[in-house]
Amino acid sequence: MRVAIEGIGFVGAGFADWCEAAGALRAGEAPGHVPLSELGRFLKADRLPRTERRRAGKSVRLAMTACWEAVEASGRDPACLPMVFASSSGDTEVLSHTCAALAEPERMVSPTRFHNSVHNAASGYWSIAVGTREPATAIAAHGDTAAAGLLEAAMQVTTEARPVLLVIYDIPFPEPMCQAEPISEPLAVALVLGPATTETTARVGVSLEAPEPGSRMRSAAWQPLCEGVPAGRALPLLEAIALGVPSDLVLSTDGGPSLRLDYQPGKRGET
Amino acid sequence: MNSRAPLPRLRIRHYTATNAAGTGNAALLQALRRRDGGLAPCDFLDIDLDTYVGRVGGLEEMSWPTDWSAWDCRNNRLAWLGLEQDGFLDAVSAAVGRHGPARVGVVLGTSTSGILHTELAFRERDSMSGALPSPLYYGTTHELSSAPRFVRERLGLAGPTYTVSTACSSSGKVFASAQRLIASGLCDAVIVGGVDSLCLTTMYGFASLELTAPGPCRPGDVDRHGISIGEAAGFALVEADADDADDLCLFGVGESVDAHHMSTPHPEGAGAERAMHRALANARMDARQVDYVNLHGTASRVNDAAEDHALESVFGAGQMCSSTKGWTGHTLGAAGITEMVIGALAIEDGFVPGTLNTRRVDPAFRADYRLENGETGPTVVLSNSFGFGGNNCSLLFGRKEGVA
Repeated sequence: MRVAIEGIGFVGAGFADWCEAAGALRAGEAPGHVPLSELGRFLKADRLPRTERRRAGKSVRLAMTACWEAVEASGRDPACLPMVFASSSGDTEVLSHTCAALAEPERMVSPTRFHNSVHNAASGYWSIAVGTREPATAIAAHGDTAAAGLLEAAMQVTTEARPVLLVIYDIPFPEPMCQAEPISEPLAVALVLGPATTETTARVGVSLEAPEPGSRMRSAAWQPLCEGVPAGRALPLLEAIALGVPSDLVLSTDGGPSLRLDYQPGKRGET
Repeated sequence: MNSRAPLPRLRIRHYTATNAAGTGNAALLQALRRRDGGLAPCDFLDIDLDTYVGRVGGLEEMSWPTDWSAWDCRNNRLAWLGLEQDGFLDAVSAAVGRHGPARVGVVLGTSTSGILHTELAFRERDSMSGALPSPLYYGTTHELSSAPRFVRERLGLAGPTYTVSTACSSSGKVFASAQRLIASGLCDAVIVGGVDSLCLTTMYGFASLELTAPGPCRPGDVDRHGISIGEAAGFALVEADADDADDLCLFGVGESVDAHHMSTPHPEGAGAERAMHRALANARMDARQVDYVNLHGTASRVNDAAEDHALESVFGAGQMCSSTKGWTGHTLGAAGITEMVIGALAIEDGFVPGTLNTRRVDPAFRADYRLENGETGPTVVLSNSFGFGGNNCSLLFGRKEGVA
């Protein structure tokens, strides 16, 4: 399968957008660290209706912020884009707080917290914000979520010959869950992927092959982010895009096939 | 609708369902035929809600191999119980023999996976430090893809493996992922389905929305008072259709979202209508070819009214339909596969299950909402699954005879 990369969005590790992150990747500068409590200043949710804006959690707004950047870069109408939302654990704050509340005698779960607990909360809010009725899926595959998201989105693009919005995102669990399931950093990577019809746009070939070790970041300073966040497993591809160099990359999975990514920059430079 | 090549038909080589109405297809079929539902007053853990549940018996006492103790949770117990029914394990072995383990994928739906494991762990927090029991085994229990990874590991598979979690449409949408995996040449067979088990989050969550009924759910009834929550596991083994295959066939899948509200469907069923139209378009079939619709039919006031509206838009008035949630309860992320299997049993055994517990159909409804079992079986079934986030999926399947 070969798909074009039409737009990129990036939020996390101290970077507000893809431009900042790509600059750091090119310069080999280490990513930063943003605690969950300070994530809010990087997030935009101003296109949600007021009620939904008040209700949407941090993971939802994180995913949506990256989606807006990717969609604007692509020039596509977001109402026409099917959606693949990939996250290892979705809204970890809602899950933790719900489990904690259910261990108390009152067992209080608010209606908003309950509907925010579904894994497709982010795609639900996004679809309301952009007014789309295109299909939305929400997938998870633990540490292999980035590979599963890329696979599902590439299949949708190639089998239906239409562009798709993919976002891969995670936020850390709060205490005490973070000890059981450490996720080091809030991170969202969004890609608008489309049919690879011309060589002027950057493209990536996506295929499955027998398990082999995953690609490491060229910039060693980024390797901890790549390994510390499930969404970070997509970063070798983002680094190749930032550098604008053809790259043959492997996203390994735990017990399943590896995802091979053959990145080719556009003939007129990177997107 | 569009000029794109349709996603391929799938051959449904094997299927099985386990839920409160029956463990395995034979028990489920008998319950459907005898109109013997599985809902009972909630006796799950220490839940103090005035509601009925569709609980699968025996999971607590089930023996569990020590080698798999890290995966031990109610959801994976239910998954294993389901896999052991109807010769499904043998069918998977045969598929591995045909194609090799790397060519068999696993895509399962769930809404809450093994969250009960974490809910109960929070009761065991250290009173001084607040720490959870360690190790928690989050990744092999609660995490959303625990069940498909468990299935892959336990059955010795090596194909692509992931979870679709779009609330109550999850295990309908897995069929679309299987279509793509097969159309893209990445898999020769895919185990699809869903597993969702009782937990505090959904019990108290739906109660907070005032969506749970005090008695057994009564889909489509003028006096319906909400849903009954159930648990279920169901699986299907699908491959690319072949001309000489006489298995049931998945003709098409339709997916859409409402873009309306996070927990309330569009009042006129606009997204639901689109999902049904897309399933028909994917299959290149006409609404008149659908004999029976297995409704999402949760018995929530808003869902059933919106779905009836959508049905009228797609089929006109008088479409034969029923909801089978009176037998199983609403099995959430497992509802899509559960009701696909019920539709398959209706086709294979030649009957239509009427809606259990419902006394008087809402007079506003325009569909032919069946209350009694019918003795003429359908050839083509459309099954709806709609979820939070306005996420909709319709499956269109049946016998190929007579379908162009």
